[in-house]
Amino acid sequence: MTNSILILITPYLYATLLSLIMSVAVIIGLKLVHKQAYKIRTMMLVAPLMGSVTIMVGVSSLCLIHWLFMNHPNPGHAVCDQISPESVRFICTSLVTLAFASLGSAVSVGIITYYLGDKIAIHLFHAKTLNQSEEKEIYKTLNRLSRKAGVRPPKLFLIERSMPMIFTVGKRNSATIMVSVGLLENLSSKELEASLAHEISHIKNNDGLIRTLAFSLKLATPFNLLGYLIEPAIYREREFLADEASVALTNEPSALISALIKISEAFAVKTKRGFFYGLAIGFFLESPLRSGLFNKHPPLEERLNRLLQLKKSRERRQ
Amino acid sequence: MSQGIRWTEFKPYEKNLVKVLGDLEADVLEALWKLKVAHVRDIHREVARKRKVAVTTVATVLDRLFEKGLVERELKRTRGLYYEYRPSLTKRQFESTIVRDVLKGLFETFGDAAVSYLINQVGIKDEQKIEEFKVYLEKLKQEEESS
Repeated sequence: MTNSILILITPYLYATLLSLIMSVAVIIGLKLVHKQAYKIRTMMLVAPLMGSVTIMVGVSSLCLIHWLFMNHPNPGHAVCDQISPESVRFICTSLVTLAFASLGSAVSVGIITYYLGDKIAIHLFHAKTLNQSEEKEIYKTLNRLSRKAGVRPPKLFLIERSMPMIFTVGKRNSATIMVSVGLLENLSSKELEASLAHEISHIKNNDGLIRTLAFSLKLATPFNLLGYLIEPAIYREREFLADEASVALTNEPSALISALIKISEAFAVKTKRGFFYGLAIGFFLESPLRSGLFNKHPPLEERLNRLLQLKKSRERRQ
Repeated sequence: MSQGIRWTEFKPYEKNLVKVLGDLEADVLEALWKLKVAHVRDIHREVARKRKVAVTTVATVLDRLFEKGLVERELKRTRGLYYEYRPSLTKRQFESTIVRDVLKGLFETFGDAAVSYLINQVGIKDEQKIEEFKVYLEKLKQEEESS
């Protein structure tokens, strides 16, 4: 009996193994691809997650077909003749249910975060629209950067917090950038411009969609444990890209460097691990709560190093 | 815990305000009591005399103090958006609130021990004072029963 059950579960074990091998291959393969080949790197990281979903759907469908034709005489599977139809039904049903439940939750969470993410964030932070007639300067900068990046100017919302915070939510064509009072009062105009350019680059690179996709794909394949490493790795890649794109927009690597330092200093103090704290940290900077591999933002040091390199190479060119 | 201010811990062996606040929180609040009304930069300048700290770190601390009800902030729009901070309570009010809350907590939980400590160790011998304590304890009991 145990033996037969094992044989029935085998397809799932193979699927898991295949997904893990695929993921390991990609993680090793990434070492060979240039650090600035962002498109290829993101695609490489998304591929094993996509592959895992395909494997899971395939195996589940096979299991479903197997179960549907089980009552027919001579189902063509030796194992099923040895164990009771009830056991086959139970195992197949649970495997198929597991697959469809994770797929279903991944799709629904993906749709909710992609389409309602901005509304949820605005509600959570009690954010208010930043008055366009009163805050002409920031809107002027925002519109200029958006035009340069070729995206529709995003909406600007104000969060009433003293600590500096900035992050983007929503779809590419109707994105919202949320800024805190603490950001506006503590950053110089150049630093603010660099941070806005960083966020606009996220919009331009369609990172909202990529993040949602990565998160949903991870959720859809709970058995691929490497998905929990791959998802944050995708986020980190996109952060580096947004940093670079920001510099391309503003030509001010020093401003972004000092903005990043100022924002990171806001987290120097041991703060209450509240919900907002978690969110704020999750959106903009590395989280001290997670270790490096699970971190959704690259370490500040590495970001600054890359920006300094960029600055040097720009200075050489000029 | 009293209404309005939300402090969550009491560390009897720490010095000064650090008994009830974080290290930096205490410094920021002291600075704000000194300045009365201030911008984050002014508070930072004041705190930086004592210790090396970044402006944005002070800003995060101000968020915490605001959440604890110890600091009020008003959004200003002259020359850009910024907050104007002021302490919600004077130093004296703050201290009496802490003493009230701590003593109330002690009397509620360790009534007898607290009273005997006050009489034997602190040396309250005045009959009238002891009477006042009894009245106070009665009041506490009634409050507890009615709630």
